[in-house]
Amino acid sequence: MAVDIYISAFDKTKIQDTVSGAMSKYVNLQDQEYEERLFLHRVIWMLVFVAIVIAVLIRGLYKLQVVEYSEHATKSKKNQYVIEPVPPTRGLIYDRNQNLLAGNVPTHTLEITPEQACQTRKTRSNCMKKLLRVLDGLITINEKDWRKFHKAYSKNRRYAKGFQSIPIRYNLTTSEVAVLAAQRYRLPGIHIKASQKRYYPYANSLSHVIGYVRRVDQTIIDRWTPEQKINYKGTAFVGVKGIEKQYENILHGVKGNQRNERNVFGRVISSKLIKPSVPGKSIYLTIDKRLQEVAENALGAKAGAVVAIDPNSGEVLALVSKPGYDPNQFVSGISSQQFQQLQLNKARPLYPRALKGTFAPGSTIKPFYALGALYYDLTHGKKMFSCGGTFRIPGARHTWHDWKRGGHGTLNLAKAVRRSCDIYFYDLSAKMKIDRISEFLTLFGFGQPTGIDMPRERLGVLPSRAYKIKQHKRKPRTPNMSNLQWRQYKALVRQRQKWYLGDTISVGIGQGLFTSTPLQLASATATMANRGKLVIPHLLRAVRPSGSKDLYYLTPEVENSAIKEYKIDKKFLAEVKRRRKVLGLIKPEHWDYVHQSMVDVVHAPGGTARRLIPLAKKEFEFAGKTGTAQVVKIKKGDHWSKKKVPEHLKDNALFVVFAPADKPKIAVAVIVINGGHGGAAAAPIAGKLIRTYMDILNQQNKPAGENNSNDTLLTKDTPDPSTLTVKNLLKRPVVNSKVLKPRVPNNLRKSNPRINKKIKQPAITRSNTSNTTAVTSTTNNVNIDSGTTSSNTHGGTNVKKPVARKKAQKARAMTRARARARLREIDLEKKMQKQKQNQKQKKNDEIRIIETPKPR
Amino acid sequence: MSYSYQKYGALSQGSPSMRRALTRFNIDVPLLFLVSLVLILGLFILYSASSQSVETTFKQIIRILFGLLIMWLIALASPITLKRWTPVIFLFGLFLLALVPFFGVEVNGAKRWLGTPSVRFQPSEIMKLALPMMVAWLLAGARLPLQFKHLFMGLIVIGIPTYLIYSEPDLGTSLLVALSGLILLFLAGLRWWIIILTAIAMAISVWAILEYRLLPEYQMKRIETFLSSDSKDLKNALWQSRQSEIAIGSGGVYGKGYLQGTQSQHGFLPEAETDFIFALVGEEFGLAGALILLMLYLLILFRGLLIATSAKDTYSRLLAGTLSVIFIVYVCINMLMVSGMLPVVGLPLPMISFGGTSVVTILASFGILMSIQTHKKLI
Repeated sequence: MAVDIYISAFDKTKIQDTVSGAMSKYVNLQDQEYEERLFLHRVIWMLVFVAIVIAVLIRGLYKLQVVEYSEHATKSKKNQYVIEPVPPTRGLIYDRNQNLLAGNVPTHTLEITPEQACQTRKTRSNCMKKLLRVLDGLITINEKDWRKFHKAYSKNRRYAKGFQSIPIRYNLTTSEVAVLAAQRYRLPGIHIKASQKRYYPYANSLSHVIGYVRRVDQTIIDRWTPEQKINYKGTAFVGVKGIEKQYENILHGVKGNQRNERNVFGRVISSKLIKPSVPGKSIYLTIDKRLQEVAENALGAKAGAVVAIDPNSGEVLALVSKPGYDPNQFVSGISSQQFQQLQLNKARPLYPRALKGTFAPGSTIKPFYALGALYYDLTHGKKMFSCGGTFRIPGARHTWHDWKRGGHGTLNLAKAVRRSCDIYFYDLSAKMKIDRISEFLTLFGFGQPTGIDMPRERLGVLPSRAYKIKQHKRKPRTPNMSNLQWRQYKALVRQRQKWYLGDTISVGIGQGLFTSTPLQLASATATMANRGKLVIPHLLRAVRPSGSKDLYYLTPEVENSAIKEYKIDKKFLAEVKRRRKVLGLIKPEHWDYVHQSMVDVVHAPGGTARRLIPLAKKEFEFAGKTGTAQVVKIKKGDHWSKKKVPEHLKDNALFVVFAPADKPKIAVAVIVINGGHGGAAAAPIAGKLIRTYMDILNQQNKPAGENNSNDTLLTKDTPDPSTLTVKNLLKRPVVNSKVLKPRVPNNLRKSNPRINKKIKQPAITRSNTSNTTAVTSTTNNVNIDSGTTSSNTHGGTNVKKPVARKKAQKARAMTRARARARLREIDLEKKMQKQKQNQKQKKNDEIRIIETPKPR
Repeated sequence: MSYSYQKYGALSQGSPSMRRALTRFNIDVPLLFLVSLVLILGLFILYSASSQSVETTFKQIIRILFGLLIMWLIALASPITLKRWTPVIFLFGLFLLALVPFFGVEVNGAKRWLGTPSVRFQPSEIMKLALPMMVAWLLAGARLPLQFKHLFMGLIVIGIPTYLIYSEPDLGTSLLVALSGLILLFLAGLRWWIIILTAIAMAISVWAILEYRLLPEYQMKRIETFLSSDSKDLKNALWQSRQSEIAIGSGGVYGKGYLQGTQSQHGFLPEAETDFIFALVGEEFGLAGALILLMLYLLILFRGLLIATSAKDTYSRLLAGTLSVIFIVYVCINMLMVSGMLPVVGLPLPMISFGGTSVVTILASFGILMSIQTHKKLI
């Protein structure tokens, strides 16, 4: 019934198709069945197709998720995580008294992440333009920064690294940071990144010593080794000059890694430190900031250089090149205008005169000649030399003049040095001959590297036959040269290469071809001072790993130092050893003679540097030599008048000096460019420097009870320089292992009672509890020390010696902590308690043996 | 009128009284059960895909509820009513499609939408239902197996909307719409030799398209990037499918865990909420999760085909069969596309992807299935 209704209602066409109404029902039902079967058939076929497709799909999924799982998992990890370098904090630089010379200060950088700023790729360039315009309205961004940014931006775009942030402005000021932070809602994709940059608090003062760091750029990167490139990923600054360059490896530290989880725009969601960075080690220089300042102030507005060396250890106490520049300018990129200003400045502030300036040493070379004369026995014996103010070589037309018209009359070698008689040294050099001159002066390091731990020192010129030959090298014959021409040319070259006696004469007073750097002069003076115990000047005093309180010292054995970054060339070391050996052949009385003559320069009547006498305050004697070096040649017949000479052609004033004369503690070389007379312009500078140094030493040697000044306390832990002669050091066994043993600076000791207890100052210790005490050299220690280092006789010379306590004093005045540190290590545990008890008991006794400086 | 419960009872899963109650409201319980299961799973997946956006999920819930309402309303109507209204619906759909070139809203260089940019719908979505209905209507009176006359008429009915949609341009949808018509023709008993000949012709035309670049430039590019499958060429379009492959592949067998997918949660997965949502399933639930989801879809297909085979007239039978098959075709194409085995054509995963029209269309087609299933007693 229902079927009928259905058919009649909907399948009218079919009904019409059928032959008859009666049959229609039947046919349709049959059709229906057939259609159902057909449909079922087709559905099954459809299912087969679907099954095939599903099978393909499952196979695909299986391949992705099972077969290639690890590959895709890695890729997903790569998407998710980025390993970012964590740059280490750069080590600090201190002077010997722990004054900070180079530190790190926070700085803010503005960065843009393009993909975050403008998310749609198609409209990004427009959107970026808009954003940058907004940014430009908020803060000032100069041309150079724009150029840098656009370069980096287009590069990033090319490599589809939109999620990487690009720096746009460095060194934001606090107000700029505040403005940007307030407007942050307008500036999507903009971050302010805090980092550290180098800061040099003394600016101009130590620029040539410390140098500076510069932002890493492509030219620097290209020079690096692959390992360096890896370690410097993420590092913004690298040392390019001075100590910053020399000890880059110490200061930089080791890069760390962090794993950042990020999203597709590069925004960091979380980060995990995989490997912490190791901050760079801090460096302590041998420079004493106070001396440096004194020398700089004394030089005043004049250009010049001052080098002060401790002749016992080779520590460079002051290294002044004036004028200096502000290294802070270079840290975050100096503008080309500023740089040009520095370069075009006639005073040449970028020129490190102390290391690279080569000047004629002038008369300062005379003491060395005097020593040479004694060594080669070229003196006139007891006979006096007559100086008439002029000097001629037989057969030559030229006449050499003394600086003093009319000459100095009759004089011997000592007097010739004292009065700086040129004629005597013309004569001497003529006798000594150039070969012996160059051989002998090489011993003092002229024309040789000093071995200082600074990049690229200059050597100056110590004239010799070889030098002149090298200077005038024969060029190869050109094809169009006739035989005659070639012969003539060869003869000319031969003539030029030939060493003439006339050349020797001007070398005899440190002029002519002779040049040296102020550092070489100071180093030679130090060698003179310590009687040939050649020391290698160095600036590195100690290294302190970050976070540690322990200092690792370079001394006493500079040559076998455990600090591997301090390198000495093996060839150079061999040469130094050879020179030491030869210098050792010079008789002590010869040294005495020359030292005395140098003392006379200052202290005897007729000396050229007598204005230093008051500075000595009768405590000690200076031993010096003035020098006045001509800057231009005077033509024959020209009238030389000081007043008429323009400023830049005035003589260079030089002075070399060491003090005290009998027990040298400091050797100084001073050059004042166009300063005029050495005794007048250069000597007072050296005098003031030495006076200051002596005051510092005196203060140190005073008992701690009388001296509450903090900074002298800081220097206390250094060994007394006077006892650190090479001889002394060599006597001590197992020196190397000692260097590695960390020592704690005094100020740290003071603050840390635990360390204070452990490593005790045998000689002078400032008590925490008492203001009035005290020398705490306990009898315990004295006994131990006298057993092992009794051979040491250098200690305590400038101390009054009460006979009764000779033994105790000897040990105390000896190298303080150093010599005993090892012993203390051995039986520290045993003695600790004992010492503690003894200390209190002995206090009263000890007060009586307070050192007092020996009056002079 | 007598009801014979035994016939359906074997298929039902709920309690007889419950089933009876729902059936009275023209609802097919097994189908509703499966559909709800997928929809609920879909909401969880969407919540993860939208970076845990409650707002997005809530929007989708509203749309699903709307879709379910439409489904129920359609289920209420009997197939007879549906059949009567079929030509009207189809012509109305054609009319809307014809309006698109003139009043359409342009998004990303293609005019596919009607309405305002914020409230808009695609007339081609209506065609997804209207076309199979129309072809079924055409063939309902035809003697099977298919005669040439009907085949010809059917092809014309398929051709017109296909062309209109293709010229929007929307190649993906036009192909799918055409496919639904062709599936219907196949189910209606299209002769095998015609099918084989057409397959050969298709192969030749595909070759011609690729050789002479007959499609619009952006379509060609999409197809080319898929075919070139050069792993070095990571640029733009390929980047999407690469990232999607990485997402699925990195899921492994058991997945990274719900809400733990790094590719999708960190935005590396393109269009994670919509077309590429299956990649998230692969990433967070692994092969196991993907297979379970596929199984649910297949169960829906089986239920649909069962409804189709038990239908009492040609129109219902063909329509039900076609809707079931085209549903699984959508699923397969989307999954194949997301897992990198087909070019990116822009097709959402039925019932899971975010988006209103898709879910409403699919639920409407289930409404038709339910209508066919629950109105059988009238026949």
